[in-house]
Amino acid sequence: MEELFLKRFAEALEKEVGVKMEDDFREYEEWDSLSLLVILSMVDDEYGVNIDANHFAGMKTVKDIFEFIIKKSA
Amino acid sequence: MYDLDGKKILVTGASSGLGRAAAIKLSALNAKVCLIGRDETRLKETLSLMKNKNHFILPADLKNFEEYEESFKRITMEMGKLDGLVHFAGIHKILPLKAMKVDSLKEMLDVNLLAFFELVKHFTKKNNVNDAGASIVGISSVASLRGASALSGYGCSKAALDGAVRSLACEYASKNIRINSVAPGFVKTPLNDNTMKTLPQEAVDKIINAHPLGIGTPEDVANLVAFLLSSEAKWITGSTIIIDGGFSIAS
Ligand SMILES: NC(=O)c1ccc[n+]([C@@H]2O[C@H](COP(=O)([O-])OP(=O)(O)OC[C@H]3O[C@@H](n4cnc5c(N)ncnc54)[C@H](OP(=O)(O)O)[C@@H]3O)[C@@H](O)[C@H]2O)c1
Repeated sequence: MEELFLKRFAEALEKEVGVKMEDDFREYEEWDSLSLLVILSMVDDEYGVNIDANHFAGMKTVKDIFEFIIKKSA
Repeated sequence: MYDLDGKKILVTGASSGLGRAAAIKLSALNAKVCLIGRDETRLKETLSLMKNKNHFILPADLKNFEEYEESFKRITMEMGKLDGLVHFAGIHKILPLKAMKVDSLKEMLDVNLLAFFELVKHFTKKNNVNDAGASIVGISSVASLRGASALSGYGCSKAALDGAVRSLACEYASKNIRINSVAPGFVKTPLNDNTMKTLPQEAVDKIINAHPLGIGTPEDVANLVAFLLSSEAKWITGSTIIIDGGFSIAS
């Protein structure tokens, strides 16, 4: 599940080198104003989880998003 | 003030937001309303806010096109031939192209656009529509006129609706059926409250500030729709009427 999440995350941002759980995603070169929407749609489509912008603002690493999904789908 | 005086009007999306406000307004003008939406509880809530209680609730998912014929039979059995139709039901997805799945685009087109075609097709059948004429209103959006990132799917569904209205207006003019669309700017509704939650605060402020008169209320839109459904608007057809507090003319 972890691996699949990392794969989907990397694909959504077209990050060929892949992503790691501890990465601060806002530091990615590919990160721009639309990336937020791309990640939110991916999480909604693949996991049926909605993250609102306030929540998202408090997330820093890829792992924060992953853990939120786990919590919500538990 | 004009009166809709017993006119029978079908309102989709009557369970929430703009559609609910319009249903309430139409009832205040003494129309008899058929309320459509999926959520029966929220349709009943709308009914409880309306004047008179002679209205008809029909819970239905507008994506089920094969059910339309039966639904219209039930509606006309209950209410008689119809004088008006307004299609508020709609889905608004903020989707960058990269994140757009064909299924999710299809769902938006089904409800925003294809449902309108099917509704008009059934509404205009001899057994369903008043022989003297009728008025149809589709709900578009300023997103059909002005671009914004992540709105290509939604904007396309609404621009297509406006396009349909022009030709349908020609097609049905000889039956005195007028067909127009209304393109609102940003109105405060549950749909928008959800959308706004996914946006950062500065993006929300930007939207609000882009409307010279500020953002609108559901009642603002309801007033325009009621007018288009009335005989006061008898010379208006094939138009898209913008109601946006100046959003689309501001630079
Ligand atoms: N609010 C704005 O600022 C704004 C601006 C421009 C245009 N618009 C347009 O105005 C319309 C109404 O928007 P709103 O803000 O009032 O939205 P809303 O509060 O989310 O209401 C949407 C309505 O559509 C109905 N609906 C959605 N999918 C449906 C389906 N498959 N079958 C039947 N009914 C369905 C919903 O009913 P159920 O959930 O009960 O099915 C609900 O009544 C939409 O077409 C929107 O695009 C809104």
